[in-house]
Amino acid sequence: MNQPSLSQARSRFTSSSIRWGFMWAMWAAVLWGAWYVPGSAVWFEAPYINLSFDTNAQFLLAAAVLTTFNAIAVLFFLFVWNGVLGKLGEYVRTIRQMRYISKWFFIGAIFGGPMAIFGSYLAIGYIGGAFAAISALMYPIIGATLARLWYQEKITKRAAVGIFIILAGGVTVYAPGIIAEITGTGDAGWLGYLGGAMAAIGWGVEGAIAGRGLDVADPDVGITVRFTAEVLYWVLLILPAIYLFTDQPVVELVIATFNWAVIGWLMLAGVSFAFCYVSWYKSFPLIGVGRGQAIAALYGLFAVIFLAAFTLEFPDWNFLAGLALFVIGGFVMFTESDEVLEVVRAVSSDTKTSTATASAANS
Amino acid sequence: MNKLHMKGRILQLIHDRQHGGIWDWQITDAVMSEYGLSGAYWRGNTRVTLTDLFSSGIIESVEEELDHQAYFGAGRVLFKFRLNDFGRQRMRDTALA
Repeated sequence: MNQPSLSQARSRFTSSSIRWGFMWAMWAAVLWGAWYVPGSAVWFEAPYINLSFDTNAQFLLAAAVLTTFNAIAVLFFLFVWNGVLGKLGEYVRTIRQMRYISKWFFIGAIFGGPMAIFGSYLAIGYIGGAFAAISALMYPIIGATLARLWYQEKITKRAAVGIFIILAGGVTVYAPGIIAEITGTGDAGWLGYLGGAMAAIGWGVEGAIAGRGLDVADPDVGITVRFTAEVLYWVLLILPAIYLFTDQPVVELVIATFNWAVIGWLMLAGVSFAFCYVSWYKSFPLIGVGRGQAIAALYGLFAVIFLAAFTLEFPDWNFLAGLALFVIGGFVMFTESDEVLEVVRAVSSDTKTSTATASAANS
Repeated sequence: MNKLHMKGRILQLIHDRQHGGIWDWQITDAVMSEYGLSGAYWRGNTRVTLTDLFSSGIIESVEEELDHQAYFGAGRVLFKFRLNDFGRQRMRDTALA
């Protein structure tokens, strides 16, 4: 048999691990985009379609209950996934290491769940699915910046240019609506804009924290620990707190959610988001948090396509212009040379010493 | 005895052979026998974990050769790994070393 030379095999190893990293991030993008379809459709089913939403509190309650069910559905599919992979034992071994490992996923879950996913449901409910999807697209800037500062992830000039283009996209999406809000011509969707911003910040921070946890944990298991944490937050803390401290009908809404249409949409949301998240976490160690997030941000494109296909409604021009900038920025970050990407962090090798690691260690 | 999670155990195995480094197939054999696993699936799974650690800049390669015995697959590369400063720091952060 014709054996390749060592250097050929070596460069194939490098390009294959980078390709896998980008492929996982791309999968995350497709499934993430798909999630906005059930995530939007569920608002059009009873009991959610029948809510009058006279007050913001009602809206917040509806988004909280939906996010709770969303998290439970995702966790269900993650357990199935880990069962198939034979990693349930690894899950138990990992989650027990609360002090050193699980704590990162538990902290990440606060940003990803009650902040980002809840914020997204708010933005969907208040303004619409396309807005929610596009408004969160700035999150790679936050993730990449934190990963750079925290553990020396490489941000090249090219990546910085990509980030700048994405930022310009963010201004395009947000500025018209926010100006309308401020000048009083808007339709009081500020809670939706807040939700979109919560999603962008939440997912950015979550990714950076996940990158830290994944240094010592398996991605399939790590993401399951992260959703275990989110389910615990909603079921044991947030919903009971709403019940105890407000007069919102939380129990009634939870009970009313148990109908075939809503549960069906939520199961679809769960399966798409579970595997989106698995792919997202798998890409981080291979290509870095900043790049994994930038590629996954192409979900904005898929979300707009899927939503337009299902609803036959197109988003406003400024959303589409912002979307185009996000995609271009993502591609600029994407086309980095293999050499830079082989090792995603600027760490010193034992053969040459530098001061980078000393500060990297401060975490 | 309570077992460590696998990625942690892999880091420990690399840490124990810090001077000369340790081959990826040696790590894989050791992990699989400790966790009672066998077969190509778990070999591949361990290799993926090692690739994660390598790409993240936690371990580095000290020696490479072609996989002539097709342990992971013909035409692939075998790596001899060791921890770098960053990896050792991560182990201390995680109370693995």
